Amino acid sequence: MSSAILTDAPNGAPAAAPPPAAPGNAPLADGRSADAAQPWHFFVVASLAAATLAVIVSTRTAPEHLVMLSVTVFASGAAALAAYHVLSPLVAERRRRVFGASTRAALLAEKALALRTIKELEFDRAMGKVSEADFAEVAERLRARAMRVMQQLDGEPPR
Amino acid sequence: MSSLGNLALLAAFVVASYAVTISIVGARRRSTPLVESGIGAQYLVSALLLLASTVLISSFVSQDYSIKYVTANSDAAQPLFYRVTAFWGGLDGSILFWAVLLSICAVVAIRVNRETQRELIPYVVAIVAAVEMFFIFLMIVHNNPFDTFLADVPLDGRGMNPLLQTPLMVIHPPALYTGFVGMTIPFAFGLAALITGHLDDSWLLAVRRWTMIGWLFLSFGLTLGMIWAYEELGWGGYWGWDPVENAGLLPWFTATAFLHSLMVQERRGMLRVWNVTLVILTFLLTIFGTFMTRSGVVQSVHAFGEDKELAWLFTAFMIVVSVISFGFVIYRLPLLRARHELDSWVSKEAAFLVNNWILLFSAVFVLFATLFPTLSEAFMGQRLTVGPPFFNTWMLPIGLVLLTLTGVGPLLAWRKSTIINLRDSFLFPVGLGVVTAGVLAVLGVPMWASGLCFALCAFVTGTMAQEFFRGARVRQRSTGTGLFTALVGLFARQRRRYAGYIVHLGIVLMFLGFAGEGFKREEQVLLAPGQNVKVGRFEVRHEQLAVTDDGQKQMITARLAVSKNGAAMGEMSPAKWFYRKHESDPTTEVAIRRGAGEDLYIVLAGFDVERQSATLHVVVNPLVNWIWFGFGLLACGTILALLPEKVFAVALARVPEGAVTSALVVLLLAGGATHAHAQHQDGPSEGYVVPRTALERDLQKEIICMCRGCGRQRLSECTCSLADKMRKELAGLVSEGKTREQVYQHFIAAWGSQEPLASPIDLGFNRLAWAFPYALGLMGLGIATAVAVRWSRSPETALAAAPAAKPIDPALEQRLADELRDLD
Repeated sequence: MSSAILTDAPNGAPAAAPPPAAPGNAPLADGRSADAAQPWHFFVVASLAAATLAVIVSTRTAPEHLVMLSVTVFASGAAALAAYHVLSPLVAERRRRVFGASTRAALLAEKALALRTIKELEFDRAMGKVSEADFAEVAERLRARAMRVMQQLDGEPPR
Repeated sequence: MSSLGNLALLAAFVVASYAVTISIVGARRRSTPLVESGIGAQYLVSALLLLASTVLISSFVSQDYSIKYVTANSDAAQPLFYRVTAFWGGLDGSILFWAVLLSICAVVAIRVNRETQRELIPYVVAIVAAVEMFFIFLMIVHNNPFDTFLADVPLDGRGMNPLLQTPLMVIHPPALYTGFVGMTIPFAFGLAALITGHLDDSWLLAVRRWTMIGWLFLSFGLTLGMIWAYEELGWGGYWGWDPVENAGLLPWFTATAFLHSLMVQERRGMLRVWNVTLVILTFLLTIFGTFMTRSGVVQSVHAFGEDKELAWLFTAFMIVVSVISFGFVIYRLPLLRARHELDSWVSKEAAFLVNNWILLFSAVFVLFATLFPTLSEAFMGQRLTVGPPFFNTWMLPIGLVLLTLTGVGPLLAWRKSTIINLRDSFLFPVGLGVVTAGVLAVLGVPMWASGLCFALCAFVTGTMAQEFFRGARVRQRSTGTGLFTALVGLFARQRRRYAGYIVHLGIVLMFLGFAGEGFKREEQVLLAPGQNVKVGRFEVRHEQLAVTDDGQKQMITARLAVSKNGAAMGEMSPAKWFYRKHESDPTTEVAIRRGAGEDLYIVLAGFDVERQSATLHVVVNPLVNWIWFGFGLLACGTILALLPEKVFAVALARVPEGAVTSALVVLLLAGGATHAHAQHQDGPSEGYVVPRTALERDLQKEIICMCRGCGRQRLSECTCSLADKMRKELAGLVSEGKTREQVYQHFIAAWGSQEPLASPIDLGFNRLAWAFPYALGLMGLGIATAVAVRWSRSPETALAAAPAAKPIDPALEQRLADELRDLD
């Protein structure tokens, strides 16, 4: 998470608004449709085919051998998919996102934390575990932090 | 198959080194493609280690005895289930298992946090990959599980140690390892925060959850270890302060301290250096635990054996990690200053400070006592034993103080508790504790230590009940719901706090079980058929010995008729099993009759088939099952704290008030004890010498068995042949009229050192062992006081509070108020 959005200093950069998502066809981070064929689909199908072939040609027929053979083939398929994830970022078109910027997810998490902390503080006051003066000081700071994050989520510059 | 395994390991090492490099370069250049490639590399390491693991398991399943590790840990007669779990039954496989678990945890942590912790993730990937590199390196150069025989491939394996062929030992290592590797993730985030300088409280978000997961698994692993020791080792206890047990306990202490102190950082911005230090220490202690188990530095029934080369590799790794980690802590000290001062010693943060001091003291004390025999051998050339009596002398009062703090902490207010606060909060719990102590005193229960423990348990339970009741009343007033619905609402809205209280109640139950140890009764008797022995309310009559064989092992079983208060309870059958290929190491099958109040625990210590006589060790263990119930509650509390908020939102929305009450009743009624068989590997025992005098009985508890295979059990507990011999020797000395000191000197002369004594004699270099805890405690107290005084004197720093934003926008304030209201 960006430090900018978590410290009390109001220097967080506004987050880019996410592209609108059509129901049932949410875009992925790189703009592809979630409904389209994904690379992992290919690796799963290839692993299934390879495992089937391995089971057919295997000379050992005990169930435990065939299960372990299939699991080994699937592990190889997972390694191939992971290798794809190593190489594809290096050759794919540069993403629009800039590394280091605050993300919407981070801001939402920060907002949820701030709201929850305010509620905890209110509960502590009701239980008599925090003095009025202490409550006023901490609550004011937390409310200011929550509002700053809400502004950032709205895409407005913090004041 | 072994070639594929080797290839996977080599490839994993190369890819891990790529992940380290590309992630650091990507972070420095702020390049998304490089960072994402690094994340992909972490996935690839995980997949390759999974591939290596499946290859090794396949080799076990297909009985490929060309692989040395498969030969050493399995044979054709071994059931398939134990052939699969033999994967982590030996040293080499356990390192692979450690690495693959770490890589899986890392993949999950990265996927969950890659958006919310984008600044830290590249460094997290690099750090985890560097740790993985170390373990893969160990396998490649030193402990390769895929090493093969060049010639003379055996036709069958040697078989796994029978001691490990039990379901408990199947679950125990994965639980403990998951706890260990779980602590690597907080370390990676903590170090990444130090490297990047993003030391606001955001890194705690990711770390807290992972620490709780690791802590839960560590607790699970430790409890399973206790159950295993209780059911399998056959000495009637559950915790023998074995070095390997201690290895799991050390990071548990520091992780517990961290889980408390991070609340102080979140709420008050204090203990920032301390929290980073605890995260690093916890990780180092997990590595140290792995090192102790595998290097042979300490002697233990669980250890894999002596390996000096491995010890040096681990030492080098720990030194590198310490230098880098603490180097960054020092470098970042200006960013880690406390934001607030300590306003009062009567405050929650002060209680957490004391709690942390005691937990760290416990960790350092256990570490020192565990290593003292090694230090003594290195400096004085004398091997000795630091056994349960020494540990219990210190850990008993420490445990009681921690139990007290469990009840005190929740009652104190943040910043400062007023006299009125204290009176209102403490009146009921303290009253309950005092009344309990009074009733126990009237009943004649000894106050030290069981009576005090029961009274403190009542005090803590009173605290928790009061907290739940008051919290529910507050919520009831604010929401207008029923009391039970408000109680469930507490978990939804104040989940961490009230789930934490459930964990505290679990600890109370565990302490109840520990206190039961004070009422333990045991007898060792030699019985001919038809004879009986009475222990407590139980009467055990020996009927006959049975000799049977199931093809895998020969079994000698004693048939015993048991009654309680004169009412027959049925038959119990303790046994000894002689596995093929392991005939010289029979296992002991303990017979346990479980009960909520007490367990009847019978061990067949020796036998004579011709005379049909049996030597029995009969133990009545009061309250022992509350330890396992306590862990169950502790686990429930931790899982509740880990559950996402949505779960409670759904529950609150759909569950009617009456259903909540019904569910609580069902939960209270649920539960029950299980019965388990047990094994203990020991030498064949021909006869058990029953102590005839109080001195002999005491000495049997003060002198340990020197067989090295039983985990330094006391003579009163061990059932091996050497223990028999030593007991006979002891009986002879006592009958000759020798004093305690003379008996000590006899055994010291016979074994050439103080090793047979359960505790070192408080003389010369050994005085260090007894003085160290005092020195450590005073030093820790001094440091904690100095830090607190400094805090309480320091002016509010610039970091204390960012200037509050001026009223921004009435509409925004209204939205905030609405959202806060919606949270109710």
